[in-house]
Amino acid sequence: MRRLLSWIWPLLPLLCGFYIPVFIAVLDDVALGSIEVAFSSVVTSIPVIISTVILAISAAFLATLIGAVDALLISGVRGVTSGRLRFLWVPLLILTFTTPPAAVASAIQSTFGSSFLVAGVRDEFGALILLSLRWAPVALAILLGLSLTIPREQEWALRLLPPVKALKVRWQLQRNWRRACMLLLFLLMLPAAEIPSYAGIETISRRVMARLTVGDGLSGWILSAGLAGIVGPLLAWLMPGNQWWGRGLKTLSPAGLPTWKFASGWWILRVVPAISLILILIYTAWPRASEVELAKSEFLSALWDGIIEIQRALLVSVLSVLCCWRLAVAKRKWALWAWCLPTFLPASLLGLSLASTWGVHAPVFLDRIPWLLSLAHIVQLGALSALAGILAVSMIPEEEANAARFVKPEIACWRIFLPRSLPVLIPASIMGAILILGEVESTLLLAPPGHPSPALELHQLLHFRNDEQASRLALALIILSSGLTLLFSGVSLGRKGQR
Amino acid sequence: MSILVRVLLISVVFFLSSCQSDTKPSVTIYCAHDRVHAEQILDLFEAETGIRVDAIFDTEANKTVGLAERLRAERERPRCDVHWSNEPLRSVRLSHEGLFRKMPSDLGAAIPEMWKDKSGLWCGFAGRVRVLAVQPTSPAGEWTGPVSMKQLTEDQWLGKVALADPRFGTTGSHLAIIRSIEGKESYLNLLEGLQMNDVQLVSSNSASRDRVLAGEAWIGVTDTDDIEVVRRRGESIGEVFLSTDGDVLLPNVIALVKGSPNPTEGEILARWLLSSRVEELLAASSSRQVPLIPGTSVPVGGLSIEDLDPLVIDWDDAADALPAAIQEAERYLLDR
Repeated sequence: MRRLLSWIWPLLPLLCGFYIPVFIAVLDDVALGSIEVAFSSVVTSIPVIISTVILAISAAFLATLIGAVDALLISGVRGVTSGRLRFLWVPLLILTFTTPPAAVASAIQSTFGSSFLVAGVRDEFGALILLSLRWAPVALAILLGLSLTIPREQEWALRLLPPVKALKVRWQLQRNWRRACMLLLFLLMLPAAEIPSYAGIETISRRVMARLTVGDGLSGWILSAGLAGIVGPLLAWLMPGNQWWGRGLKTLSPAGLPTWKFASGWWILRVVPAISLILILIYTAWPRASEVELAKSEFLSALWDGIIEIQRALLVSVLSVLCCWRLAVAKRKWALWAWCLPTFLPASLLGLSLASTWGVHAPVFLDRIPWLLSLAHIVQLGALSALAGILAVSMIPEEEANAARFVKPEIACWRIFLPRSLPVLIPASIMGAILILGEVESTLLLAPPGHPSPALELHQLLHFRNDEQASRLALALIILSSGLTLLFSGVSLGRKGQR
Repeated sequence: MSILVRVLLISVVFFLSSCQSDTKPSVTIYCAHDRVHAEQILDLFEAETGIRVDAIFDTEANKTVGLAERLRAERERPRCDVHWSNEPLRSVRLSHEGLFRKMPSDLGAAIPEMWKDKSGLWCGFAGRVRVLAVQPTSPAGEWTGPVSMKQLTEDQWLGKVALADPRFGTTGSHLAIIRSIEGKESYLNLLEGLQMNDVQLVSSNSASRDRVLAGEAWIGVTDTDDIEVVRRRGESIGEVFLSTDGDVLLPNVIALVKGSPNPTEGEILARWLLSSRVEELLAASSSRQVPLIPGTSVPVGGLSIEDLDPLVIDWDDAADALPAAIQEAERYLLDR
């Protein structure tokens, strides 16, 4: 019994939060709709599927390129990112990812006017830039993690080479990782809906939404099945084969790395969007003399809402990450694959499935607790959690993994592997919590009345062009997310003196 | 490790304590009207009646699947007492699906019958009008005389008309109303004409207006509230009513949800919302709604029903036409 429990618990949230409700919702919609009509409307959507794929591939390429240059310079060159204040760079470099897209839209709208938002960021190019900047930090995190954990001997050998030659070799070393990273980003961008909606671009997720607004759930499911048809096999290909353990190497200090004069120029270029975003929001949010009290209360109330919400977000994120990490320790590749799929389903479909399946049977006293929303968020983070689990396990040296076989599996898991995995699991959980803080689609469908959601409120304000209030909300969200990343990077980078 | 566990335990306690509720009577409303205005009105209700209002506000229609879908998903055990929709056709469809219950006859008694459901399942109040935002310095700025949607297919406006995504919000409703009144053939001709005239499809009504502000389009099909918002910020933009077609006035809609947890409080709130006073508040706000109750005062610069020539719409018929209208618009305007 105990063995069965330990086998099944990492799958329980996934089954309850995704596969069971989705299965029931699909059956309901098949019973209600006409498959023939749904298929015919899907056929007409083929051009949209193609254009979404092209957009996602282009954005994944650009984001990977930016992240790869970041990773190359951090791992191969001494400079501001390896100086005393290096912990300050982490929040700045990942700010475009940790800031909810609505906050970015708010900043663009308040500075250049709403006509710029639609006229300047409205087409495929605008969507491409916004998507690339948003996802580049993820490419940075993946490629940097891999770049910093190459064998020590290899690293020392690289440091002995002339600086430019060393950078070229490091760039070549990244090649396979870049390919895998680009593929992963492509998959993560395929279901994008929010950013393309600011740019007025049609994507598969927007088409699914359009179907749902007239109660045509079946077409939505068929379109999503088409999406899964692309994502599923590629994900399976990305899953680790036999090599689960083994990178397991301590990173070296920056001492011995060369300096390179062009690096500073790149870093200035990289932090310009983040700093501009913050300055714009501060400028817009700054109240006139007559509005100081009102502005203060709006800002503090948004901050407080965010603080309350981030507790739940952290809990949810930790649970999701732990489930996937446990599966990775047990090398259950297909279970991890199954955890990844919910991330690629449009969040609205998931939210509606949960509401119609579990919501109707839940006791009344649960109505005021965001348990359904939390379940949705746990499974929505699936791909991030699976990636964190796989990376965490791959950082454990093979010798340690082999030695751990001599103790009971549960003790090995929780007393040996878990502490060794925390350097990956903690940042992944923080990242997950920040993502939840900016999520709106399932929040709108599943949050209990009165549940604080600054991101949703920001969405509602954007339409009305209440730029000042929107900026205060956006700023509160950025302070919360940056505070978390700063805390983590300060603790992990500032104290140890190691990268 | 122990620190991590402690932090998580504190988080659980903090989180659960934040979920507790008081025992005051309460009512839950799903509200699609702009949060900025609706929140003030609901706060006023709360202050006057002592009934706590738990509101969930919608987002702009094309960014998410809206609260109407949430109502559908919760139909077997609703959480919502009152649905406040900001456009009628999707509410009518929900009423056809049996999600609403009959309203007491005194609710919205002062509102004329043409804005109510014949079976008493929903009641309209204060609405907005579909209009053309025009660039004052463009040839469209000199437009005089009656105007219709069909005129937007004329050669002189080639590439100069902006229209919001026809599948969402009031644009979808507007097209469904045209299809219901003029018939399928005429509607398809209009779509074909718009497509041939290289209409600029944008994400929302506000984006349609913004194309006009930016000078990229001369005409933007939008709502009166979207124009008023930017006018109050000092922007110069023209407003032309579709007087040949008849003014398409889309009222807000109140409906009581069948099997809701607080039916009595729901009725109290609905009655309060369907009053002349709330219409006055909405008319005076920057959403510049048109009051439907005769004699309701309208501020200077506001829109009065007496100044308009509202199209008489068969709401049931138009709602039935909505899915087909949307799919045809998608086929003609988006997939070509």
